[in-house]
Parts: sequence; C-alpha cells; structure tokens
Amino acid sequence: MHSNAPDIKESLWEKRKDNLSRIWYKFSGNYLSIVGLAIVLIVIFMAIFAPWVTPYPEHRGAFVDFSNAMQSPNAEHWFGTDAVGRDILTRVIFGFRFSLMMGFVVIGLAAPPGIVAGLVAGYFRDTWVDTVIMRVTDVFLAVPPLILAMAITAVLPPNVFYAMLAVTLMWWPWYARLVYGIASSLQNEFFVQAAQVTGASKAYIIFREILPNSISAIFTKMTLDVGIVIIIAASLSFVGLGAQPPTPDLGTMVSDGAKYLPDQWWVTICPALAIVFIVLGFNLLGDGLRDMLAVEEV
Amino acid sequence: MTTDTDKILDIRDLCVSYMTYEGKLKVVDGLSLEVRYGEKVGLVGETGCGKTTTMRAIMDILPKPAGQVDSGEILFRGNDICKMKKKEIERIRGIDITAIFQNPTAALNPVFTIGQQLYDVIRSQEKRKTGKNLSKREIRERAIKALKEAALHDPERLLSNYPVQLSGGMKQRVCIALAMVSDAEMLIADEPGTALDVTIQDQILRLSMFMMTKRNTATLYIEHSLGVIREWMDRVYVMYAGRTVEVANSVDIFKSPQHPYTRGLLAAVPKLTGGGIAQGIAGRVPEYIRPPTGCRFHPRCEYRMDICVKERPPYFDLGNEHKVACYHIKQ
Amino acid sequence: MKLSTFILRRLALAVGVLLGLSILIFVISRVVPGDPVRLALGARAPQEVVDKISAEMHLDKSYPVQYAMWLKGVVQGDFGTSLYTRRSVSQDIRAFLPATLELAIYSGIIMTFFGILLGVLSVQKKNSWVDNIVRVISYLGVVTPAFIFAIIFVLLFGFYLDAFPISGRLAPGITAPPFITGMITIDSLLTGNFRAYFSALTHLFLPALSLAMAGLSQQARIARSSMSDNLQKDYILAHRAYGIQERKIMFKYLLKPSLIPTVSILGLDFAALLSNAFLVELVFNWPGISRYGVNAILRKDLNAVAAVVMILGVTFVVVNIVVDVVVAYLDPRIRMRRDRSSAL
Repeated sequence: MHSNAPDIKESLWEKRKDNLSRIWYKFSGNYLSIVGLAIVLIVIFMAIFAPWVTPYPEHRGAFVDFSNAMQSPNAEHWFGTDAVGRDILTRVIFGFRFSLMMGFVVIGLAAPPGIVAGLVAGYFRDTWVDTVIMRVTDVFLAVPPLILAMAITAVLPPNVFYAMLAVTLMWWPWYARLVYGIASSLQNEFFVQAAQVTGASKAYIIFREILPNSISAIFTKMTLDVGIVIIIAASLSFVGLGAQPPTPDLGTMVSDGAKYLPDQWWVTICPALAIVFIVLGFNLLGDGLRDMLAVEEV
Repeated sequence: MTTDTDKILDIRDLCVSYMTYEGKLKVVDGLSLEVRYGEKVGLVGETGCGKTTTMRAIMDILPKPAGQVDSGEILFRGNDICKMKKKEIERIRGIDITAIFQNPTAALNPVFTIGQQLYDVIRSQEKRKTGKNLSKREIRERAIKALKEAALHDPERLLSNYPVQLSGGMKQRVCIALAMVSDAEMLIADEPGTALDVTIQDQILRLSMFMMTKRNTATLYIEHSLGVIREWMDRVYVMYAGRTVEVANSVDIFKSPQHPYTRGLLAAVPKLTGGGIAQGIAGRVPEYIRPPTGCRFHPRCEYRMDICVKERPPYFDLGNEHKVACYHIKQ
Repeated sequence: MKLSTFILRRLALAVGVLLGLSILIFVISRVVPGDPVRLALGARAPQEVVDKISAEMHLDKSYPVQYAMWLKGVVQGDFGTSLYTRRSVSQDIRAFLPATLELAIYSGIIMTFFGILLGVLSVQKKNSWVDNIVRVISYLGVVTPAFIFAIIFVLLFGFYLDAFPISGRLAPGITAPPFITGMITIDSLLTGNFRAYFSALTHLFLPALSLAMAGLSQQARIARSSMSDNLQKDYILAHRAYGIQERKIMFKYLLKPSLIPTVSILGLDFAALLSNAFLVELVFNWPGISRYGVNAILRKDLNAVAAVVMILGVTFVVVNIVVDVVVAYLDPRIRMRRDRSSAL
C-alpha cells in the first residue's frame, strides 16, 4: 500500500540537520534575537581582545594626563576623556571585561550547586532531605538577592572578588528552585510515571528523564541571568562595594562621573550607555532562546 | 429538490488552510454541505479530517492569523459569512447560530463562576435581540431555567460555583445551557461527548437531541463515532481529509453505503452479533501539505482506478438525497 | 478551601521563613574575619572602648546565646546600638524607614497601574505604533538599571528641563508637617498642609519613576503576553460564539485571567523595588533606610546592617503574602487545588 507517511528509516544525521535548521528558522525569524546574539558576540570579542582593540590601552589603569582632561567626544576620543585625561572609550571596553567576568563567573559558580541541590531535592522527594533543601532555599529566596549580597559585602573588604562571592552565594537557590520546580511538574507527566512503573531507578529518572528536560530552561535562565548579574555588579560598584578605582569598572565609572553632571555629561553617560548595551544584548539573546526553546518556567 | 430558501446553512466549495513552519496545511479542500431549517444533519469523519476547522470557519472563530478561509462560500440564511463584516457576524453569533464545543473544561472561563458567565450571555443576547435591559432577577430566573432544562440539579447553588468544582458531565451540561439560552435557529455541536466517558456521553447526546427536537433547531452534529448519530439524524455527511465524500439519509447511509471509505468505516465497527473481529482500513490519513491528487482517498482505496489519481470525483446523484463522490460506483 | 484558611497557612509559612532569615542574618553578621567591633571602630580606637562595646553586644558569650539575645531584642524592636551613630538602631530606623516606604508605595503605584495599563493598550492595538513604542520602552526598562534611569532623569528633568526637583523630600523653604506616619504626603494631608503636600509630591516624582521603570516594564510585558496568549484560549472563542460583546470580553473575561501572571510577578517586582531603592536614594539624596543601610555597610556598622536586612526581609515577606492572597482570590483554581490534592 502506498503511503504518504515519512520514511521512518530516515537517517539520524538527516534528523539532526532538520532539527538544527528548524531551530535556526525559529530563532532567526525573530530578528531581535539575532541582534542580541550579535551584541553579545561583539562585546565578548572586544573584551577578550581589549588591549589590541582599544585606542589607548594604557589608560585603563592609573594614568593621568591633565592636559587632555575633560574633552568632550571628538575624533580622537570618541567617548571623550575623564577628569584625569583618560580615554573613556578605552576604559569602557576594558570595563566590559569586568562586567563579563562578573556575569560568567557568578553564573558559572552558582548554577551547578543550585542545579545539583534541585536535583537532589527532587531525587529524595518527600523525605527530610527534600524538605531541608527547599526550606533553606525558601529563606534565601525570601529576601531580594541584592540585599543579602550587600549584607555579605559588609563583612568583607570591598572589591570585585568579594562582590562576586557575595552575589554567587545569593544566586544558587534560584537554580535549585527552578530545577526542583521542573522536577515536580514532570512527576505528574506520563513518561515519568511510565518509567517508574517499568522499574526505572530514581537515579535514572533524575538524570535521563528530568535533567534533559530542564536543560532548555536552565540555559535560558543562565543567559538572562548574566544580564541581571551585570546590573547587580554595576550597582554594587556604583555604591562603592565592588570594584575600586582605578579599575575600569562600568559602575564605578558612572558613579565617579556623576559629580560632573550636567556639563561634562559624557563622563557618566557613556559608561551608563555601555551597561545598557551589554545587558540589552544578553536579554535579547535570552528572550530569543526562550521563545525558540518554548520554555515557560523562566 | 430543495430550494435555496429551505436551507439555513449552505456551504459551497469551502477551502480553509493553516500556515505553519512546514508549509500551508490545506485542511479543508472543497467542502460542500447543506442544512435545512429544522433538520438534523450529522457530519462524520475520523480525527484530523477537518471537522472542527469547518465548524470554526462557520462561526468565524478560526485562530488568527494562522487559520484562513481561502475560498468558497458559507451561506447562513442566504448571507455569506466569509464576506460579512465583524459587526454583522457578532450580531448573529450566539443569537441565530450557536455552538457546543468539544472540551467543556476549555470552553468555560476558569476564573469566573457559572452564574457570572450565564448572566453575561443572557444579558448581552437580550440587549442584542430586543435592546432591553433585563433586571437582575429576570436574568437569574432565566439562568436557573436554562440550567434546569439542561437537567442539572440544584441550579441555585451551581450558579455560584466555579468550573473547577464541576465534573466533566456537569460542565458540558452547563455549556449546553449556555448554547440553549438564546433559542437559536441553528446549533453546531462539535463532538460534545468526546471528552466524557461513555455513559455520560450518551446522556449528553440524548439531552441535546431532545432539546433540538423540542425547539425544532437545525443542527449540524459533528462526530467521529458512527453509532452516536444513527438514532437522531435526518441526514449524514461522511467526511474524509477535508472533503465530504458521501451524503445520504440516516437509513440509507447504514443500509447501503456506497463510498469505499464509508463502507470501511462501517466495517470497522465491531458487532456483537456475528461477524467476528472488525476490519480496519489500511493506510493513514494523508498529510495536508502535499495531499494526494485527485480523490484524496485513492492511496487507501482497493478499487482505485487511474482516473481516481488524476481527477477529483464529482458528486454522483443516486436519488433519494443520496450522493457519492466516487468513480467506482459508476456501474 | 476558604480564603481564610489559605491566608493562615501562608502566615505560618512566613513565620518559619522569617525565623530562618534571622538565623542567616545573624550568621552573616558574626562570621566576620577578625573582631567586628574593632572593624567598625577602627584600628585606633582604645582597647577599653572596644572591650566595653563587646560586652554590651554580648560578644563574649557563645553563639546560640548571642543569637537568642539578639532575637529577643529584635522581637521587642531593639536592634542594639549603631556602632557609628551611637544611637539605638531602632531610633534610626524609625527616622528613616517611612521615607523609603513612601518612595516604595508611590513607585509601586506607578509600576502596577501604568504597567498594566500600557500592557492592555499594547494588546488592544497590537502591532500598531503605540504597541511598538510600548514594547521598546518596556524593553529598555528591563535592561537599564535604576541608577542609570535616575541619572538620566536628573539630567533631563532636573537640569535641561528644570521641571522637577532632584534632591531631598521637600523644598528648602517649606516646613515639614509633624511626624505622624513619617510619610510627608500623608502627614501633610492629615494636617491640611497643602503646600508641603505638593512639594513632597514633586520631590517624589523622579525617584519614584526611576525606581518604578524596571517593574513597570515587566508588568507591561507580562500583561501584554498573557493577554495575547489568553486571546487564543477556547473559552474566549466560546464567549464570542455565545454572543457576549467584544468589549466585555476584552475588559472582563480576558483581563481577569490575564492579570494572574502579572500579579504573581508583582512580588518579584516589589523585591526589585526594595533592592534598588538604595541606588535611587543615593542619587536623589533621599533620607531613607536603604541609604542608611548602604552607609552602615560601608562603615561596617553590623548592628545597623542586620537590622536593615531584617526589616527589608519582613517587608518583602509581608508583600509576598498579600500578593499570594490576591492571586488566590483571582484564581479560584489555586484554592481548590490545594484542597483536592490533600484528599488524594
């Protein structure tokens, strides 16, 4: 009997290619996501190759040249110069480094323990392990992360490293909650129950059924989180709890430049726009991922 | 034999499609059917043949922007719905033509009580029909009456319940009450029993049919199960892959089915009295992006001829309202 | 389940969480490398002063005892003495908290009301220029930190347009109303001092707007997307089929279920408000508790820090309870589901 159904013996490679092109179709259909991806890639590139890409790499640290101070944006200094004569564009690009580092390091350090905690709580579901882990995350989640992060910085000397540490400590519970939530909602799905009924061990269920289903949500959240962490890092530096001068951190630059408003507006506005630029990129990318992977929990 | 003024619903050559990633799904492709005033017509077809799409096209509730009517006419009381403006359609929806949906849980707004939803329907329809504003008491009375007619106990308490508190059968009765409130001339029922278990299904069917007969409402009853429509329908259309392939009155369609697909459907019903295990129809429902040419059933048909692959069969009139779209019966 | 039972359950949960939070805060404030008192007072403070204050803070006792004494104090409203101002911390809090609350309330109003309004507008005129502008603004609102908005508003409205004041709570010449609630707008209304009321409002506008931008954007986006999703739902099709007028469908039958996600997010958005308050308070010179807290952190004034975090934590928990209750009211399925699942 002739049938119109697709040939089941289609090769795995063909299927993979089709899947990828389908994903790309969905992703590229939304041109904003492409913009986000482009921004992120540009920023990463500039951060990595900062010493070679910037016009005045020596301005990144403690450098003074009062004869060139407070120049408004012009051909030699696209973003102008600051109070001690440093090129702001250069410092902004080096500032990208710190922002990215903050974002990636914090998420990279906070996500794995959080995910593991969530999986463990899901594995030992309805036992005391589950309850303890979830109550602990509840306490951390009860207060906005920034507030507790700041409290932690109170007991540590103010610098970039400790700021990162503080935010990391506050961040892992969100991943635990996310993974646990996915695990819980999947418990009621038929494929999990089917696996249980056919005798699969709990470990199998956790790692082969639940984890793969969580990956899209985790990945999307990580992308969006980078943006949020960058904002938090900038906020902490703005207040003086993060990077200290003369390190070129975007938040510190905004804070330093604020005193020169409104006349020398570029000293504070340029780094401010740079912050918006980076976060915009990661947010667009994360949103694109979310639409593409059809994730709802994030 | 029937003149145009006898028909309350006249669908001519309707084509409806959905736009998707893979391409354009031509779900309904040249569907024609008619329902006369007071008549009970069944539309039977397996899952995926386009029945719900047809119903949504008639009521103009296709999901936009994916779904669209490509061509054809849907004449309701002589006026083409496809060409009507939004306001005109809003004027007839619910009042002259009403519907019962497949999934009662999805058809009721979960965050409002039954009462609130009923009241608003009653209030809007009365405003639309006569321009009058009913008093709260009158509206409540009508609501209770409608619920009672739908064979629901304790309607007063039901009014303050949320859909989540009701069982499936009760929800479907509420939907029937909602549909019946208007006393419309035409009802389209889209598999109202499907989401319920069999005993409730039977009750719902009896209830809806009883009410249709009592009020002499023209009904288009969409089903996938043949047995359901046997008892109550005047005429039955059989649908396959977006087209109607056969139509006859309810006696003839079971006694002497002509189209190979109809025969296959009937043969697939297991009988308790002799006959052994039922036979299925080999093959699958076609995909709608590159559907089969000519007669859409030809890939699965044992009587397939060359012309079936090339050209779409027209309707052959066998007399007594019995029409079949198949080259094979020309003997 | 009745609404009252639901509320009680949430309250019980909240108490547990707050207890855990107090432990967490206590642990943080005591896990300082080195001597906390010396840290705050500086290396040059005389040893006797350090010893005296250590004794006052019971730092010689074991940790559980210290925690118990601290907790006892907290419950009675005594947070100890600020190592910096040498006043009781609760006095400081009473002075500064109302300013932040006032700011948060107005921000919250702007955020919720205008956020949802913009979201509804956006959906009504989907894909029109109104929709696109709202989408752009709300996107920028999400990616821009509050302090950048603050600076931009200061530049724009404060300097260039000179339309709104950019510092403090009241114009210098105006006498403040007596301290009834501590919130100038309320107090001035209560005492009929309209000059103070208007001055306070104009001073509130820019800081409240800066703070609200992030939450406003979130609300608008979520309102828009949830309404857009619900438009496709079967029950909306059913409402249409049964003849309910389109306007009623939009504003009643679509709005209520669509509000559920926005209200759920309100809790998180309010968290963002409280978190970011310090940024705005610093830029606009607003004498609020967040600014007080930041200064306490910079000065290592641990008693004050612990107190501020605790207060903010309690506020946040309370707001979350209110949000949960409103959501349960809006969505009866949540109340009912608890009941059913416990029966299973």
